Amino acid sequence: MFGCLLAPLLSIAGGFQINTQGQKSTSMGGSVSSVALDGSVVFYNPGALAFIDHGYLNAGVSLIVPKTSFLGQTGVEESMPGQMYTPFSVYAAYAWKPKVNIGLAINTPFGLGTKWDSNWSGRYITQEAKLNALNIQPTVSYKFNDHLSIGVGPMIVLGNADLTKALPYASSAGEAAVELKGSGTSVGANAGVNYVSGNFALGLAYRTSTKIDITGGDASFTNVPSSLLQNGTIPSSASFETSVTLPSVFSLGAGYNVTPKVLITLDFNYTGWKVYDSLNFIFADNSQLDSRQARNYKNAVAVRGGIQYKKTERITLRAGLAFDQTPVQDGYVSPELPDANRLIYAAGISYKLKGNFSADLSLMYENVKERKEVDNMQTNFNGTYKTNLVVGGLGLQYEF
Amino acid sequence: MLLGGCKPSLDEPRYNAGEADFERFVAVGSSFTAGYNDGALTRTGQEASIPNILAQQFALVGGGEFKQPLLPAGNGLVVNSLGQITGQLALSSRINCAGKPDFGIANISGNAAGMQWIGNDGPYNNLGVPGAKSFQLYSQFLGKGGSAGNYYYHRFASDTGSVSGLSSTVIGDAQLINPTFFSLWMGNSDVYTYASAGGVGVVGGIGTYDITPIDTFNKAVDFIVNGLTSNGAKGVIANIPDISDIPYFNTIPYNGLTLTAAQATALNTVSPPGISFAAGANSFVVENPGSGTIRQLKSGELLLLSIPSDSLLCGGWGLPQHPIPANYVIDSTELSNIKSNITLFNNKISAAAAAKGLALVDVNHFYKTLQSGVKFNGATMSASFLSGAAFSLDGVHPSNKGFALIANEFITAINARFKCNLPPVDVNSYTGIIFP
Repeated sequence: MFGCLLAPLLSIAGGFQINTQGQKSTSMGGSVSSVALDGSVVFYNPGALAFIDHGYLNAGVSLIVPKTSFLGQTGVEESMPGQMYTPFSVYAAYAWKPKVNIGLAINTPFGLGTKWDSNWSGRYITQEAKLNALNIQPTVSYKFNDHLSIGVGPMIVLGNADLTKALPYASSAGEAAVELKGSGTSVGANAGVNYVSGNFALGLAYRTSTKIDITGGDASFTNVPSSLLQNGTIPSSASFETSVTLPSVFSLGAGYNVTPKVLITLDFNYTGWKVYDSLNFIFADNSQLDSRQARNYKNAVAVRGGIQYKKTERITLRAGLAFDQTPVQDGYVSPELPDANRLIYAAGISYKLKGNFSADLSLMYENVKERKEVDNMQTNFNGTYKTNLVVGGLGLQYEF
Repeated sequence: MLLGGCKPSLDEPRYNAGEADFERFVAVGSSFTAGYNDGALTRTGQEASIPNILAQQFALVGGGEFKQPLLPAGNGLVVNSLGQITGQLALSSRINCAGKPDFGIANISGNAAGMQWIGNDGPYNNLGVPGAKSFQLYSQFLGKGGSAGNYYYHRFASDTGSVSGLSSTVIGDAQLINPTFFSLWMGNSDVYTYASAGGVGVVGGIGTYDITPIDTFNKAVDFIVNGLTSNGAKGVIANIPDISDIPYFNTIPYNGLTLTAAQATALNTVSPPGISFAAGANSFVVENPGSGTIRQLKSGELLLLSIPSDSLLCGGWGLPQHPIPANYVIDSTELSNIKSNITLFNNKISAAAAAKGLALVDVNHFYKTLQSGVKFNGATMSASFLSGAAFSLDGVHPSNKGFALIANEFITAINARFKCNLPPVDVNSYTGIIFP
């Protein structure tokens, strides 16, 4: 499965949500909103943070290796060239007071990366797209009693976008291209409730939607025919603004300790993708360049299941399975994000090292269903997409 | 690590010819079939010709070799009535008489070597002959040299008539292929030559600048379609677009004379009765043919792209002192002649398609769609001159991109009629306008 370690696309959950926010959670298909396995609880359910009895420091990186092929309407098959993406996560969780725990999450819950050959058939739509949202989330969690806790933290989101595409203006030197770069910040919140009774746990978590406004974005145009620069059809550079609304995510999870060594979990996610209805680039001083594209995402669900088995004092094994529904509707499938329903298979192992250190390894395979776009509303870019994706993850944990 | 086997696999598309047999494909028509654009016949245009594009797709489902009477590479050639040769049009960047950056369009030198007879190397599958009118497709004079014939057909006619005095015919050469499938796009030259000359010809004549008599046209369509289908060949036939949808006729607006209030007042004092101006957009003043009188253009009347642009911009053309000459104007009578004949011709083309079970490509309708733009794989193309990329520098003929767009319309019609599933061609890989 590690064979195709050289490929692109970082969307590893429906839409441009990234669900590998920790190696233990990834190994269990992401079904961890009812349980506190490590510091990633700060992100998955701030409410469950109150139930940790000691501190965790977790740092991890995922190696995302997707491979997408596209069969266009002209009958030519094209594949993305080799790319690799490495989103990371850092968590700190601290058992501060008997009823109050605090934590910090730094991760990238949203992002995408796609890169196609620069002269491929969809070049006027995208050649390369990079989008990522870094989330910084300080969190506090309060335990009412041995059964019930809540938690909340503000999310400070730093967004970055970098999009390159070709323009259908040619000179003897070839086609022009434009790169749009910009960044912006926004604030949201992550809150959760956790209920524990004996071997049974329930979790409820909600992350708000946040709108990242990018103002003062920089569009740089390259290889523009000189006559079109002269007559003002295209400038050499221009300022633009845009905004990207990240969706809310509602999670409902349950966990059950079948035996002291075996935990099973089940999660349901509802992601409010409907807020991502359009992607507009507005050029204040060059309105001829304005671009308005409908996205019309729909809200999407995911169902996730996982199992954890404490084999020995040193070794814990995990496995997970998930179904993730795409928010992208027919007519809006675009090669920046050729999304489709997906089945996710995951497994992982934790190994106690010396002292208070341990290592977490995870491996995930996503089978993104074949997606056939018959009539794209925006671009007439039609064809069939197929993506397979392998994610390897390595995490290091320190307990205190 | 296992390096293979991870690329997701997609099923290879399977194409089939349906009820058609593309083994021997022949194309008959005029400049639009030959691949003529940028004001000349060039090798690059021939390679992007609609029939050549179709032949590439037909090859997916059993189509055979498609031989074109190719010119040598280079600037191509355009031959005037005196046999003089120049090359294709080229776009240049310039500062115009008003001091603004704009484009210049001029012929570059031609390639006389392209005139050499290559008819002994046939038979050819592409029998598009620039300038050929419907009834000339079976004329035994067309392949003769000199002004009596057609220089382009003379190049590759199987018999130039040097011995008998009568040449081979286009339709006769087409039958040498014994086609199983044919494309026919005829009739453009039967009416566009009248239009592009500003209506100096007659309606119902067989001269170069005339509109062909409808009876002659009908007879020609019957003769040619009967000839091409005589051995059971199937085929596709295309109709004639409206000139109002073509940049050569719609780029310069009838009311492109922009005046200030002071200019309008000053002009009104020197204008004859019936001619008046106001601040803003005004109708150009044109001469009435032959009479020496002048008038203002009416909404709907057309000006030709061939008007010297500096005369219009800075030379005072279109003002009462300098009326635009009538040969640059298509007045409402001429326009009505053109439109009513295009309708009659297209009715005949539709009837022939129905009678013989041909696929019909409604290029007339496609050009109307093209006005607001059509998209292919994210790129928008339109009928706007230069910026729209679908028309070539001559403003009448499609660019190579435009040929590809129209070829896809042919494919859609063929797929629908003969139950095949040929893929469209990648329009974006063809050249549109190369800007300086």
